[in-house]
Amino acid sequence: MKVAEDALLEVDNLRTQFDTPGGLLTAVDGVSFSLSKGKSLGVVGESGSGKSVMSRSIMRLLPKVNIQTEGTVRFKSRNLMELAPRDLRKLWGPEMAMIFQDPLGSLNPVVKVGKQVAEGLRVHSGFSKKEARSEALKLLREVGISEPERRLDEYPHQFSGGMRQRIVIAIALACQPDLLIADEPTTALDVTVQAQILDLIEEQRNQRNMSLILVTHDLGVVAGRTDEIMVMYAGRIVERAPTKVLFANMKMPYTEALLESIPKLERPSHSHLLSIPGQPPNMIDAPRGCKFAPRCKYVQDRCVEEEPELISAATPGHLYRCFFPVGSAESADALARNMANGKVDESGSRVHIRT
Amino acid sequence: MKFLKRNIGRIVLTGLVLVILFAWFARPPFSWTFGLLILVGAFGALVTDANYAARRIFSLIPVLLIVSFVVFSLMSSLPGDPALTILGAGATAESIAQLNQELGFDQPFFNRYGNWMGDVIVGDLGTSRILREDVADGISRSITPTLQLMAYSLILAVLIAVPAGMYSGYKNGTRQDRIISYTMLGFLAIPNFVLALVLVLFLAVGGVTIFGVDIGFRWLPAARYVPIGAGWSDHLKHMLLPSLSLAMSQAAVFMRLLRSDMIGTLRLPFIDLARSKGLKTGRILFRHALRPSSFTLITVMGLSVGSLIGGALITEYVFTLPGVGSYIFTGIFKRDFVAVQGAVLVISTLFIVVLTFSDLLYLALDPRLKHQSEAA
Ligand SMILES: Nc1ncnc2c1ncn2[C@@H]1O[C@H](COP(=O)(O)OP(=O)(O)OP(=O)(O)O)[C@@H](O)[C@H]1O
Ligand code: SF4
Ligand SMILES: [Mg+2]
Repeated sequence: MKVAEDALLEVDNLRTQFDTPGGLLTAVDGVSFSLSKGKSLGVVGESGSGKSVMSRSIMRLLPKVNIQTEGTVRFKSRNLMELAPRDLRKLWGPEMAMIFQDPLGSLNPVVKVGKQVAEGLRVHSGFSKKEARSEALKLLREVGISEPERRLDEYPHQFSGGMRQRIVIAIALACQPDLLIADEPTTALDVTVQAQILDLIEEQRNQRNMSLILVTHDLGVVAGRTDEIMVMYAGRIVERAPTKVLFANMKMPYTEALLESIPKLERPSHSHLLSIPGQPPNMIDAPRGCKFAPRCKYVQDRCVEEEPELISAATPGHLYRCFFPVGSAESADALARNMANGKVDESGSRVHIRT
Repeated sequence: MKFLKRNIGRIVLTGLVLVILFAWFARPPFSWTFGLLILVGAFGALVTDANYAARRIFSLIPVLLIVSFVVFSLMSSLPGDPALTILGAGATAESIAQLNQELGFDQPFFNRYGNWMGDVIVGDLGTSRILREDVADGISRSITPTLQLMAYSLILAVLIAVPAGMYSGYKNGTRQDRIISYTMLGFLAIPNFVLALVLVLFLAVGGVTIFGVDIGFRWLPAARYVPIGAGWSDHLKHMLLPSLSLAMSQAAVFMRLLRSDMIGTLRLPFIDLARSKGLKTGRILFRHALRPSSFTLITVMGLSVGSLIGGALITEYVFTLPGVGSYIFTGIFKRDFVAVQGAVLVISTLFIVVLTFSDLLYLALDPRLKHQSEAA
């Protein structure tokens, strides 16, 4: 696998499985990528595609029971998979930080926000109470909380959702991490606030030369914001490319479907649910071939038989996982065949036979 | 200043009530209660605001009136003729009637209640003809061991339940969790007095001898009350077994509540965030998970004081502590209703004050409730 020289994070063949009553559920399956210092990566996929589990696997912040992880996560050339909990704790905060999917529930309801922001500084940087408080004040100001002196001593329920997410960001930034993983940081917020929060994260990333993994189910959110985009489906990477390349020349039918499900790309952000027809596959007993085959409009017999590898496109840094990539002559033929045999209707969408 | 101006009426009223209460409580049996009430009020003012605390204290007045009425009605409806008991078998119908008149027992029910309440308000619980003692003095003498027993039990129960519940909740589903949970369930299943006897047997009187092997110790005294005045260590040594036997079943209840709330709390997103800050497990458990998990526990702790009172009375009996329990038992056996009535009133008042305290504590622990109460 190619290793960028200044790679901050290298994930190699990461696999995370849950022991569930129904069987072994593979939530993340063989994910490999690397991220350089100061760069940003957008991770996009539908609900259930494994984005959160992947983020937590990278952080090593997973539940302790009924779980199996494989592969390596190399952060600053240390394999996190081999670190003991106490060594991981030293990384969490000063080296890597995470913003979780639920901004409203991420703050402790019975602890003053100032204390929550200052806590990491007290633990990791050995700040005194007073120093930590004044640093927390600075942080709150930086993330755009007005009157921070007064608000330090307030409780989370006294803040709006957007404000709470700003506080969560302040907590994540407190110890100057080199990597920030933001898992759908704006999903629960309304549209105008979403854009502000994303801008804030972007601005802080630039100022601090921090690397960022921005997870979202909305291709529109990462469109203008991250250096690269990685599209996930059924726990796998199905396409990965620099943002411009991806939008100019996407190869993966799934990425195309994601894009088509967004009505207007110009809008700053979208809160509507994605609606690609059909269901993502069962991750306990996934079908043999391409995982997207049951929903793909280019699907051919081969797709059902064998799973495509992640292969490089002509443009450097562009990877995809498809036998009939969008825009190729083969895919045009495939689509024409499917229309002829009735798998796809005249409007170009896959016909689903309900069983 | 602004606060003073806005609340002048409330402040004056509160002052007045406090003066009346003082007149009432300044008498020895109530001094405990009164001290508690002041503490509760001050605590309430601290964690919420003065108005809310004052409102809570005020709202106790009708409750206490109802309690006193219920206590009085119950006692008057008990069978037995007090005058006959006092005078003994040699009493004539005439002398009974005369004593009844003297004691006011010939008057209608509400007059009697009114008279009694009139005395109670100024701190006079009456005089027991049978025990030949002022009831207020009798209760104040016997309530000290009882309150000590209850307080030590509650403290012990919390000291046992909090670490056990937290650990068990954190280790949810593991063997350690199961061991702790079942052990505590066992303590819940054993009645207090049985546990008391077992503890005495094995820790105080040397246990049993099986095939010539002694199993047990003589570490602690089996009975007798030693006041604090006679030395703290001796006092605590004598109180340990009674407190422990009373505490274990409470500890079991507290532990189970804390455990299940802890499991719920540890699943919340803010615990993930706390972990991702790189905090140590202990810090996460104590600083982040304990407080939000303790709301049910606090409520139940307040309520459990009720069952603690009942348990204390029996435990006193087993360990021959001269507490309110033995005072009430003596009163009941001797048909001394004045004494029983007074003791029950004092205990109920204490219970209500403690409940109020646990309510206010709840507010202190959950800032969300505090702001609701301010808005109301
Ligand atoms: N603790 C767990 N135990 C069992 N299965 C889990 C657990 N956590 C996640 N999963 C499963 O792993 C898969 C991936 O979940 P994940 O939360 O990563 O999806 P996601 O891409 O983040 O989706 P969303 O957009 O809804 O957040 C899902 O099928 C989910 O049911
Ligand atoms: S491999 Fe086949 S089914 Fe899978 S995305 Fe490509 S065309 Fe569609
Ligand atoms: Mg998710």
